[in-house]
Amino acid sequence: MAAFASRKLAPPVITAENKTFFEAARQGRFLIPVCTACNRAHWYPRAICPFCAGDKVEWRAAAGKGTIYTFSVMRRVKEPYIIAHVTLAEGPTMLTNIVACDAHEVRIGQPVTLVFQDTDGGPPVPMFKPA
Amino acid sequence: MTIKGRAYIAGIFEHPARLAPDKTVAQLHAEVALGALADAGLTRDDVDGYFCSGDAPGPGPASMAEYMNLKLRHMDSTEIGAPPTSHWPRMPPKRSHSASAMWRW
Amino acid sequence: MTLAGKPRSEGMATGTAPRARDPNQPEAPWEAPYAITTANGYAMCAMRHMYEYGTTSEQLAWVKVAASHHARHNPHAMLPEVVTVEDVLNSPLIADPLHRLDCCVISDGGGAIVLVRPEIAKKLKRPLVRIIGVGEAVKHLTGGTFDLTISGAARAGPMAFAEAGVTAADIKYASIYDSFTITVIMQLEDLGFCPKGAGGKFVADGNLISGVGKLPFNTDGGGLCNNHPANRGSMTKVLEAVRQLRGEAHPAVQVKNCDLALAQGTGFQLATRHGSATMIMERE
Repeated sequence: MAAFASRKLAPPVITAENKTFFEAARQGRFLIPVCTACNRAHWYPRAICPFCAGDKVEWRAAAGKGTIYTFSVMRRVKEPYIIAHVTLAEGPTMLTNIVACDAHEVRIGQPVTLVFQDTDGGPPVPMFKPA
Repeated sequence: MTIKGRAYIAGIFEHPARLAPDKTVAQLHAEVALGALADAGLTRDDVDGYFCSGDAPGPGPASMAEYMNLKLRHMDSTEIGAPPTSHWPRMPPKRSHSASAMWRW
Repeated sequence: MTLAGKPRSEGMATGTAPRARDPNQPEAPWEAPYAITTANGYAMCAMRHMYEYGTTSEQLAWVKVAASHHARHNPHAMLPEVVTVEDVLNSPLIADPLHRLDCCVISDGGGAIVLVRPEIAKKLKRPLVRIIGVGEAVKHLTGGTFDLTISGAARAGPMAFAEAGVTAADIKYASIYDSFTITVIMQLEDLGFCPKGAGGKFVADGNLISGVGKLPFNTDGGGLCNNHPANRGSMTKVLEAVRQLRGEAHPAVQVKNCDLALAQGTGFQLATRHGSATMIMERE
């Protein structure tokens, strides 16, 4: 089964906190939030660091590499897809989908690499495929 | 059970903005929370309970608890058209146990 | 306190479609595009639990099997037939590794409890069921570093046990939130009925069946077989615990001398954020 044929993706709500991220996404750049006070990256992105409550969080270019922490193949739907949590090289784990592979190829611990996927009327969103 | 003498307001904060197009609602909730904690001389680590109303992005308080990365023993949300600040002081008393021993994650 | 709803007659999607969100929820832009649903989120927890601890689909299935042995005595149960491990594994996969029979029912209905002060309880001439310990916790993704094999019960449970002054070994009956079979296994570990990771082994071979195993659970049939009204299963967990303490459960599943019971709830989503609550009750 080739996961991810042509499922229409709901566009993300653009907010004051995330518009920089999605503008970069339109240009194919993957940014992650890093706190300039404690130097930790976090996910999901916020204007206030969840670790030290610092309010000087900046966007930095992320490597676009990670490993699968867990996943599940959603089967009981018209177009099966793979939901996953991926641990990024920079540290935090993010919710995402795994694409461009067959379901039986996916494993916990598998290295994956970023691929932006278009949404229906919105900016692309980060997903991952086998590295 | 009377509230009389059983709760004190130790920190307060009013957000200075009156127009905030560049902030999200979640961010505003977090900023005022941190402001009131600072006023009380406390930090997020001191927080056991969190209460909000229908204006907090929800449903319920879980989204804000995560946004602020709180470790909660109690949370609640009430929606009666305005935050019921008179209801909230009736939260359960702090228990006498080693809180740090409980945190397995 | 009341709880009620009609997700079944309102035609609610069976946990396989994303639910509508408040667009101001700060996590919404980072979750909605990926179509996380109730079922596939809990399934991710099951996958990780299997990866870390070797939990098997057969062990997950035993949770449903046990609940079905109880449901057959409940005239109101939605799914009153006894099932086997094989029946569970042969039911269609919803989201790997969860099969349809690993998932709770969607039912209309509800329930209520009345809480009174001690002096009123003693005047009512009903069996005396007293709350002796409670615990609550919220668990979320803590900024992106988390462990999906642990639930909020790991915090709520110890609080309730400490307040009650009892241990898991003292509990005669437990109502354990059973949205999915994996939910039960994780909560049993977190509450201390068995070590973390040993939940699969603990539930296997009928250990949750009243009269057969060490920890009778969900003797009304639970959310897995009886009722999960308004998609909130905590009220029914409390109700069956009270029935057990009063001696009013069905005779075929009534635990002898049931004087200490626990009810455990887990609300929302184990794979992102959820609330957890533990309540310990005794019969005076």
